[in-house]
Amino acid sequence: MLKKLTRLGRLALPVILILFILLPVRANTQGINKISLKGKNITIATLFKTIKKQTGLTVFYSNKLLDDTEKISVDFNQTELSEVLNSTLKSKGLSWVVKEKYIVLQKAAAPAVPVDNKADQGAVNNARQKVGGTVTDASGVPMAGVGVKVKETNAGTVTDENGRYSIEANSGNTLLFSYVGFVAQEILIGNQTSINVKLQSDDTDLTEVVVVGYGIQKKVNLTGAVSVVSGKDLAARPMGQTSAALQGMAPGVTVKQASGRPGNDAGTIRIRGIGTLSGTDATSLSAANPLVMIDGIEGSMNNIDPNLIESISVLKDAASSSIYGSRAANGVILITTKRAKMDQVGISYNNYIGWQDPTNMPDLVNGLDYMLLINEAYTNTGRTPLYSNELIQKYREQNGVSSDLYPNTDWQKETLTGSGLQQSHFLSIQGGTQKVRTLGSFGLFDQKGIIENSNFKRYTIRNNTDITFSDKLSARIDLQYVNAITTDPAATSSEIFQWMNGIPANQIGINENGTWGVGWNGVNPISATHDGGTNRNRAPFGSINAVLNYKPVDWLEAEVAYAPKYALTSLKMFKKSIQSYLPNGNPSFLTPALTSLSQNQTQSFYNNMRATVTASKSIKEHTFKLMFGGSREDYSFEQITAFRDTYILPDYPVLDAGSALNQKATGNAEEWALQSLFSRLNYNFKGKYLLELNARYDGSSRFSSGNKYGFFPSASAGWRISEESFMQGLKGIINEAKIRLSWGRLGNQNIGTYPSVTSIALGSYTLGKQIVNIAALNNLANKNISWETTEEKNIGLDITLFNSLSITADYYRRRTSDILLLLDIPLIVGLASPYQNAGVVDNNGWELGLAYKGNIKEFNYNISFNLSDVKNTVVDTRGISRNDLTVNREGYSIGSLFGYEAQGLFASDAEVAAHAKQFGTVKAGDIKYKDQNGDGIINESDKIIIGGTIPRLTFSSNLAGSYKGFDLSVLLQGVGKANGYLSGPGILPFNVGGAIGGTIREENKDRWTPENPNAKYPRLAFGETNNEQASTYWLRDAAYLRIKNVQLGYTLPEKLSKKAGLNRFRVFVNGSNFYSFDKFLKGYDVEAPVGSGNIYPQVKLYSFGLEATF
Amino acid sequence: MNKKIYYFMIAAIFVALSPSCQKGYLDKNPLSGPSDESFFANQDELILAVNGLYSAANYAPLDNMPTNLTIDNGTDIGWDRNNSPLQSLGKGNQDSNNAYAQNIWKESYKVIARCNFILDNINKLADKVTPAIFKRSTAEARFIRAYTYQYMIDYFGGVPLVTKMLKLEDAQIPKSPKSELVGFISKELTEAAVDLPNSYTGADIGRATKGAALSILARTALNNGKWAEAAEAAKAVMDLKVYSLHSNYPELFSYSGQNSAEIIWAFQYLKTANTKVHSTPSNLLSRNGLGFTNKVPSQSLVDVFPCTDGLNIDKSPLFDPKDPYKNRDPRLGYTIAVPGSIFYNYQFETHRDSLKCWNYNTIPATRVDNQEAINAFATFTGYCWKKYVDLADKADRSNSELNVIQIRYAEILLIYAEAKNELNQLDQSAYDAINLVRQRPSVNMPAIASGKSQAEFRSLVHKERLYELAMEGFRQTDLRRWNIAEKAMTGNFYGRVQRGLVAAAPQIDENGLADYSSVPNRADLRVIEVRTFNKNRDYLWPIPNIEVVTNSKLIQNPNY
Repeated sequence: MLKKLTRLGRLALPVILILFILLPVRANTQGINKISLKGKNITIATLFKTIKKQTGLTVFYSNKLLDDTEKISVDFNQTELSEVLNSTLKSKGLSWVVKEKYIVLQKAAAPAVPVDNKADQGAVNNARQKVGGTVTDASGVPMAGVGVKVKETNAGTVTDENGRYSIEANSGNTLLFSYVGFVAQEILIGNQTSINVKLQSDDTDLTEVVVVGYGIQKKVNLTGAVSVVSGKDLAARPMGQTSAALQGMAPGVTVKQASGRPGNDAGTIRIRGIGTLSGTDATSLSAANPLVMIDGIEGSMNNIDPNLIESISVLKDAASSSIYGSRAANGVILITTKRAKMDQVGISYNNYIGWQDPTNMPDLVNGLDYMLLINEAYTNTGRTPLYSNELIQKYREQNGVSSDLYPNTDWQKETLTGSGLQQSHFLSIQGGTQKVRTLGSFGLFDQKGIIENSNFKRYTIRNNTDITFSDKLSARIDLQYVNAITTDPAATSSEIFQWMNGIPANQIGINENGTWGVGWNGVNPISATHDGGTNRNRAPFGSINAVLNYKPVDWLEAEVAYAPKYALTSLKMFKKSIQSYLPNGNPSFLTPALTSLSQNQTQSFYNNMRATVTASKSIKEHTFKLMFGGSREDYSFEQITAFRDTYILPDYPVLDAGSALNQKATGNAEEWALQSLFSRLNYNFKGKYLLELNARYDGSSRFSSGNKYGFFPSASAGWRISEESFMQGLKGIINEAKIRLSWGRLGNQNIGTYPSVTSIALGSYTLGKQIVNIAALNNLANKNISWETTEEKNIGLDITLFNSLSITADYYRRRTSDILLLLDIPLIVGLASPYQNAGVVDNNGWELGLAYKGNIKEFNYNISFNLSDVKNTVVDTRGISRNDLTVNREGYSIGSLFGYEAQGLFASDAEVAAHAKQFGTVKAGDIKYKDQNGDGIINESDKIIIGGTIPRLTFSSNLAGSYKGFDLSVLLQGVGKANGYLSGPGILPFNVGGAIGGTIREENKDRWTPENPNAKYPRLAFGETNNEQASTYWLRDAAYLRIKNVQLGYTLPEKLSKKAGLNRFRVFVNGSNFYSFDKFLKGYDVEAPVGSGNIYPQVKLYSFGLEATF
Repeated sequence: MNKKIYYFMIAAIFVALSPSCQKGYLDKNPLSGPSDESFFANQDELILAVNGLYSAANYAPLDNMPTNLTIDNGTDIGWDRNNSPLQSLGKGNQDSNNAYAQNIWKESYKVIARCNFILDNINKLADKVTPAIFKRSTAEARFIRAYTYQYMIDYFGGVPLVTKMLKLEDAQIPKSPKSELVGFISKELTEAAVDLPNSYTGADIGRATKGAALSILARTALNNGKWAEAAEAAKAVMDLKVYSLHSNYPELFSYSGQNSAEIIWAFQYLKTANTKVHSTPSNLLSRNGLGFTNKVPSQSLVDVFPCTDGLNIDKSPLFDPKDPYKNRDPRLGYTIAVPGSIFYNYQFETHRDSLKCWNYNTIPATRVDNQEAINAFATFTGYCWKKYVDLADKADRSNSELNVIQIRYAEILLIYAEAKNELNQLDQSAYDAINLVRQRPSVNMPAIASGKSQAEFRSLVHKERLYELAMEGFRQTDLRRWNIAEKAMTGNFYGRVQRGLVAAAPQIDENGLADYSSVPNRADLRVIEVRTFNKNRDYLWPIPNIEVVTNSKLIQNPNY
């Protein structure tokens, strides 16, 4: 038994060494321990056991150092521990040091191998001097907890919270400074008594670990494709939603941010393309969202303050993510939150405050131009002009001013009156002892929109606690409460933006007497934002993540976790009637007719239980690690809605204040469950040959019995060529080189809760002026529905050159089959289409990540560059294809744009007559479409794929530099190849599709007329559909390069900040969405999703802030 | 090895494995409604499902108005100002993705599927339901299904005949010829009529009646030239003695007329708890009445209404071009708001120089700015539709609970008259039928004297349908079956002369189409749009393109 125990000690040595660096050394304060033991031919191991018994100190050592089966004879009676150890180890060439509860045996300094009195390292040397100083990181921030050791004597200490240390050493000795994640430094002591040290962080440190599914892995031993993003980089971006901050941070991770609306400005994350087809629009496929795990619990990327994040691991290939089985088909994002460090007490605070501006707004014509142009459009189509010449003359005379009689409203200017103020405050307090450590964080994020009554507020409270009960038992208990409050005008932002970009300028917004004008039939974005009431969504949730970790022996570890999450949403939409007036004071439209209040409350409870057992063992040069676990998750959801209208007292937005006559209450509920077994085996031979096997067995309530379970295996291997002997000569140049290969299978079950069951929908209707209940079958079920599976192969290469350039490259082929598709079914079936296991999609692509760091004297810089491409191809859709603007067609990418091939504009009516029959009355100046099948008629069968909406060749680059206290970082981000397509009101002249529309953009004035035959845009033709057909004419290049973020900071010199009682003080200015280079439709953001452009645009943010550590 | 470790490992593995041990953890069933397999367990469930048929049939393909109140705005008598798919259908530039046609196709087959769901399963209930309910429910489902197919064939021609719940693999079905569908509808309605009651009370009002089944039977026969069947079915409705004409014509389309004995079947609406409402008033109302005037009647419809002597305005001595709305068939004023009238408590005047008008909502009346003249988007034609615009909806014009009539007795009388004439059986009963319609107390048009030729009577009955039924959704089908759509729906669609009147009466032909070529100031008529009609294509709507793509056996209608 004893032998085994000591062997455990040996195995644990690396771990202990890490502890040794982290733990403060208390050797000199350790009370004197006395040992009593008498015995002949006892083993050294027995002696150590006795020491443990009598002093509580465990002796740790490696079998390479000491053969503990060696027999010795001892006779100690209340002998001091130091004497016992010295006498025992003297002849073994070993020295020892006491760290906390451990006695660590080490090889004595090299020259001291021969038996020599002077080499008696445990003895006190009277010739010592005191050496002290401060240890800081590269940017000058003091580092606490850095291990400082005199190499020759093994005497050690750690730096205090101000980075200061003090140690006794001889001149000529060498001081060794070490800290995890930093390059250890050795400094020879001369006569100086003060030695200040700057430690350089070491990204390629062999000890660097990466969070992977259900565990951690040394970066050098990774065999899958995993990208890591540090929380520091995310927090540097002034973004409310973490998903948006992820844009440009990792190769192969494409983030598209469609909107800048407060609370709704999240990015859509796609890892390695789109592997599923469920849905119709490639940019909004929620089934294609990656799985996000926050400290092991499924969560949302956007409910977490970026300041909380320690790091993010993006599991990109199937081998890394298959441990998450049926939910991993779109990749997995693992978020690790910050935890308290041992023996550090501190408060840090950071903030920023800034102002937002829209990135783009379309330039619209004034009232007079609008009337002239719409008259032209009417005349061109044979209609009587809409506006009389007399009226137009009055406008001319008025000369651009606006009046009640002849309004000329700048809808954008009048509506964009929100302050756009954005601020973030984040406070964290940490403290702890060896036993209990805790980190409390408090965050406030407040974003006000560029229109009135549009804002987002989020309060975050998180407390991460670590408890060490004993060597064997520890626990983590994390508590989190987040409340996100999103407010939007009751009319909705998208309507507001469509109105302000659609209503012609000759409609009245505000009357001269200050009352609200009629706008467009009572629709008025100015009054709707100010007075129209709000739609407020409060979404508080609280979660607990409790983990108990038991380590009975060193090679075995078990963890049990329970993580419940309780979430509420409370939606309150109070839609107030706004009375609009005619300029003469008579009331006009009351919009909407009745003030109404809708409230919607949901509550959901998510339960997550998990248990894992991990065994690690090394046998000679073979290292094994086996993890085995099971988990169980269930979710239940309930919602109620309530509605009343007719509010005689509109100042009381509660249900009771409304009329009971039209009151309505509805509600529903759903639940699902998932249970799983999973396992992973890691094997590594000599640290050169790496192998990993994963398997997961998932059971889901979403499928009918017989189809409930799915099996998702994966395998990956790595070869660290740089460790081969034939490469040793190149070690100075090629520090690290590894080839990775992987294969895996994944699943997807994001298809609604009960896809295999058809339920009867209940509702109400009226007969005989009474309410009657109804029941109806609405959906077609598919009982045979089963898992969607993805198989992915990946080959990757990691290289580090000259200690400063690291390169990661990956190539992958991914095929998703049995895709759960909502295929269009013949409408004659009369039911909504069911999910079917049909369809095959390929995603093949590559990724390249480069990072370089260097310095020119005191100027430190690092440059990183990411480039990736994915080619998405729909291989099979069972032949079914929709004819919308975006389609999924075999041989093309998901969400391809589908339309006619425009061949310019017709030059003459004769050319029209000679061409295939188009749409309605076609004349010279209209768009000419290619008759693809030559049948003389342009119809659906002439449509072709005209473009793709999935961004290709996405790239980003981060440039960062620091000089003395100054630091600058610039993030560039872009897309090399993509198409964008906008149509509808605000883009097409006088278009009234959707809710509203009507005006025309300045740019469209360059229209075809007989005098302007080379115009950019076709002739104005009111009510004709020919030019509004989806075609290449309106297709735009959506490639772009954007200066996403620029930050300039200055850290106060320590001397100054100390005077203010601060450890560190940094101020910064930041510009976000600074500028973009693109060739997109003027006035619209290049990232705008395919559609009518009625979106709250992305915003620019100029901000400044500070970071202070106390 | 330490036993503790073994125990520990066993315990840990047990915890990890425990998920798979517990049965039922993964069995989650919908919480919001019963499954389709267990449904149809009792009479209550049957009635819920049948109620669902009426709900599904009452859909709104455009602007939250039922089909029959919108569709005339895609014909010669009306116009939809929004650049909508209905406007395209009227203008002749629709394509195979036309959303209006697609909505009707989709919603109709949804209704048919609900009917089939009941008819496929109802036998499960044979001994659990009272025989009366069993028979009535079966008949209701057959009625709704036949009613739906009836208008589908008017709009699309032959369509796939689906009479059972379709499995996905059985959904590749070709069109059935129109004649086969007509036969199917006739058979279904004939049989349903046997089991349907004559009338209902209370919360059953709005269900299918015997009269409704016979009426749709008559309508289908008429629209498909089966004159004998049409006359016979119409006669059967008349012989029920349940229905009679409502004496006050305009009241029929208001809240006070909702329970009229003229109504054979109506879509039901109820505002309470927002159960079911429509937005007809806000779409039709004038600007002063705070409507959007986006569906408006044409100048030609106004001109087609005869004078009180029964003659068209180009023939009648009673017609005065300077006072064109005087001495006209009262139904003109009941159907259309004409300039000079009072509409929704405002003086309705659309002459562009009438900058002020009277507001009769105040006592005494006040002069206010006349939005019909000032607003560029006031009614383009100068006229507004009046049916289903009731002052009771003044406060909330988008949420009306006024029932919308789908079948009324006047139509049956006109079907009878037309069918008898086409059968060349122009007897007194045919004259009686048409004269009953013409001479209802509030209309009081002169009776048609007997002795008309078949052609003369045909012209009279064709025009009578227009006067009586305008805006109720019959015009498109009438234009098609009379083969005059290409004439009626080509060229300029006119509104009023914006600052004046039509100088002289246009020529009115035997079908009630107006020809303005002889009108001296025709150039002053407002051209609202220029229409084209492709007679090789536009007599049928396009089958939704997606349907042709998903159902390989379905062939698109010609030239789309």
